[in-house]
Amino acid sequence: MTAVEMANENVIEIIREFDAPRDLLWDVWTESKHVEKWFGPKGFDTRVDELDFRVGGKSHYVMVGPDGKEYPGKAIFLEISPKDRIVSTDEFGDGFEEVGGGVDLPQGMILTALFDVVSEKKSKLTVRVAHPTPEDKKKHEAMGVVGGWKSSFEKMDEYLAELQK
Amino acid sequence: MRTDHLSSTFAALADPTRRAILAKLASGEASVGEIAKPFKMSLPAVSKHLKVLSKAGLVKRSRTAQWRPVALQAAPLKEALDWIDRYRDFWEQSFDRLDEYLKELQAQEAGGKKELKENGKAKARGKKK
Repeated sequence: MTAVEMANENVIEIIREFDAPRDLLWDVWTESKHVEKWFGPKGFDTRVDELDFRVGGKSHYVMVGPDGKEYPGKAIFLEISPKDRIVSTDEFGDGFEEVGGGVDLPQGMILTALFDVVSEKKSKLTVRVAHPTPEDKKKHEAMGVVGGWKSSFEKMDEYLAELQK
Repeated sequence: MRTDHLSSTFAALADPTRRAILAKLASGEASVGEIAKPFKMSLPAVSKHLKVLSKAGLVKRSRTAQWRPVALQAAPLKEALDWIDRYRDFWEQSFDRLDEYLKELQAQEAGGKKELKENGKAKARGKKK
């Protein structure tokens, strides 16, 4: 049966080759000024509000539809292996149900992006979206906590520096 | 975290044994014993998997027949597939745009490199003075 065959280890897998070197593909995927240029369906404009590209860091983006409606999304980076692999959470904000055609949206999905060199001027991108395994969930929670603490420490650092001025 | 329909479907599908159970049931209903056979698994272990599948609405156990067969329920699978299709569309469209953007960038870069080279020469000359 198709459904069961399709739902292999990873629920969704999308593979595409691009006529660009792998390093450029990586930059375009990870830098907000680039992401805004291509992310989202045709006719949508994407605004990246936050892209803290490090493990435990968050990204926050808003897709603006042709009608001006805003569809927010967010992610937390779980694994970053430079030029090679990024694992992040993938959450939809309020309002996405309509984009999805009125269905419930799965929550707490994990997105894995793999970057492969095909040739000097060609690269392959694999995007997998899966529901987290219990291990993913644990990792996710741990990362969220670590990320939260990190930013608290950073704030504290700034505050301490200010106090000592 | 909100638990929704699709999440429980995908969570149920995230296990190879459960997918194998569904694949078996796709060819017709079966008893728990029949389901357990190919997996070399204890009946309680299989029952556990069936419980997850049944909670997600993917299987139903007959209450009437004496051997209480388990049957596949396709509706949630259809819903999950529809969502996958839409999600795939989303990425395909993003990738189309990415493709064009990468071409644009590289065209710019090819043009820019010449300029950079010339600028570099100018800078080098500037430093010497």
